[in-house]
Amino acid sequence: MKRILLLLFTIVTLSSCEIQYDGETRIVAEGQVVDRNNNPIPNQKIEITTNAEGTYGSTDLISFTTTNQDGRFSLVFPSPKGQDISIETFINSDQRNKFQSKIIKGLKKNFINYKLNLNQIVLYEINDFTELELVLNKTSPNKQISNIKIDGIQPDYLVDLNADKNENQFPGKQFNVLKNQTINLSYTLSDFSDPGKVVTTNHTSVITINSEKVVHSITY
Amino acid sequence: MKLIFLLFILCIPFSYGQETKSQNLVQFNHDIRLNVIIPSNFGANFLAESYDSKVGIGTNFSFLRINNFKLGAGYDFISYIATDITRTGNIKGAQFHTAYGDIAYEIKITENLNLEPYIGYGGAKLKFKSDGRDFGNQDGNNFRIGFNTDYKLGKRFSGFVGVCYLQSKLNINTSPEFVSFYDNTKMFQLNIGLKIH
Repeated sequence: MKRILLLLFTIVTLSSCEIQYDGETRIVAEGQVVDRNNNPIPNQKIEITTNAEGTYGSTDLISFTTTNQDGRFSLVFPSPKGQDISIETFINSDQRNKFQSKIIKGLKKNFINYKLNLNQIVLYEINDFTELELVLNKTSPNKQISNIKIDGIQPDYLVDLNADKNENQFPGKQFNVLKNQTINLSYTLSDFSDPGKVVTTNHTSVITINSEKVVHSITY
Repeated sequence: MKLIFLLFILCIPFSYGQETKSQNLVQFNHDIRLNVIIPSNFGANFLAESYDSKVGIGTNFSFLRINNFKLGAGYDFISYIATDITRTGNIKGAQFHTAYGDIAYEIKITENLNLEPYIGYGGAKLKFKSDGRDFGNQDGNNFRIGFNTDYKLGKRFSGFVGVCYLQSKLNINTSPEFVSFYDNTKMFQLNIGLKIH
């Protein structure tokens, strides 16, 4: 009897974890996939998943297609119930070609009048990228570096439509960047030498990227 | 007293007449139809363009008769398989349910052959399912018009073939350019079945 109750409890628990859908609401995701020269990329795999994040999160592949000859796609699918379900568009996820992959992460609130128009999505060729590595040489225990930002063409593997623009998304010290460009690097240095007065200075520098990996050092 | 008696005498033929007329006018009926439905969806709508239909089943019970008019109720079930994921989502199928009321008119052609045109109105429900999992419902209502031709096979049985036009209006919230694609369905049904009477 206990086993049956446990089994029933498990079934009920698992079924309640499933994402629920509203059959009377169809939302639309559309866009055009292009290369760096604005040429449409046909036959690119597009997948849309819904993702309930959390302890008992579940994921559904709710729609998929490939881009047409103009690089365009249009997918209509039932809307998940609940505002916090993440709706993620995967572009070229299996990467069986020369182009990068990309994930665009949104919520239902990003669908304006039931539609998310992603407009032009640029995919760069993998060979177009090289690496930029920042080496931080800390010479004084009283100094701290923060707000490191690079301004240049990056692959943007993950685009979160609801990310806080002011949030420092500095993921580390290594970046994938497009070859043959100049990158504007900015950061903030804080000097705590005088406990009564913290001196904060903003710094910028220009880094030239060629075809090889670039290592840029910041000494502070 | 004489007046009351006179009125009573006068009322007898009227009351008798009304009773006889009532028996002829409204009668309980018990025609039961069981049939398969061969649906053919058409038009610029999602069931026609993004799904393939399978053979459905239907039933109808005609329970009241007024002269040659018959009042009834019925239920249809048709299963659909998704063919265009870009418009259906990654959901394998849909089930079309409709319950309706109808009025039919019986026309006797020969001793064994009847023609029965009808019109009806009811509620529709589309249930979206994939591997037994529920992906929501879409509700609406529908209008039907059609006819059945009944051929008497025995004292209690007739075989029938009929054609029905069924148009449904469904609730939908979507981007404006897709509303007309998802808010209606149109189909012809070829109905073949048995009638028990």
